[in-house]
Amino acid sequence: MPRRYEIVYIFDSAMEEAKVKESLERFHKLITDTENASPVTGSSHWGKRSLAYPISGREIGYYVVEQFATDPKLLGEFERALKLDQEVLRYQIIVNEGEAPRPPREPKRDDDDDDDDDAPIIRKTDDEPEESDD
Amino acid sequence: MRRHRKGCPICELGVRVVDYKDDRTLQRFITERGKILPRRLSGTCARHQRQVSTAIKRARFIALLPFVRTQG
Repeated sequence: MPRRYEIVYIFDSAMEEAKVKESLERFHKLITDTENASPVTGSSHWGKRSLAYPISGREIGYYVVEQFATDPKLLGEFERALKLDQEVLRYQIIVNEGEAPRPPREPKRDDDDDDDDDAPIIRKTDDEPEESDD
Repeated sequence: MRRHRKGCPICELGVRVVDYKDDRTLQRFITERGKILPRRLSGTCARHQRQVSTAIKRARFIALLPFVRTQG
């Protein structure tokens, strides 16, 4: 049962674009299943971007964001390859909740849900009793 | 004296899920130093505050936002 994921790769900015594509191809093979020939559903190259803080001495990284669907069993090997690759400065895989179907939410009981979190009684007594005085 | 309650800024934007890749928006929810703003300052609703804090943590990991910003 495949799940949907989103991955952000940060490649070494010294890499050429062709080389990045080549690496990506290699990674894609690892998440390709017999039943799922094309796991990657979306991809966007952000290109070079300055990092908010240096990662292994680099100030600039090459960002690639991809959406893919694969069996969770394949992720272990996929991540192992990413960790071993010297050119991947960092990666982050998250479960892509973006367009995934969600169970329908139960409708609110009352129509006064606008102000049910600040009842008038509380408002009269004190402002913020739980606020700590640091 | 009644405090004026401002609406949740994320609700006003009309987004359903806060995107951790949108560092411009997330920037509004961190302090100068890079800390996550508390709800009492940011004014977000509970659900969006949870989403914002997760998104900020994810954005930090991929170096879109700093863990800490040190000046001078």
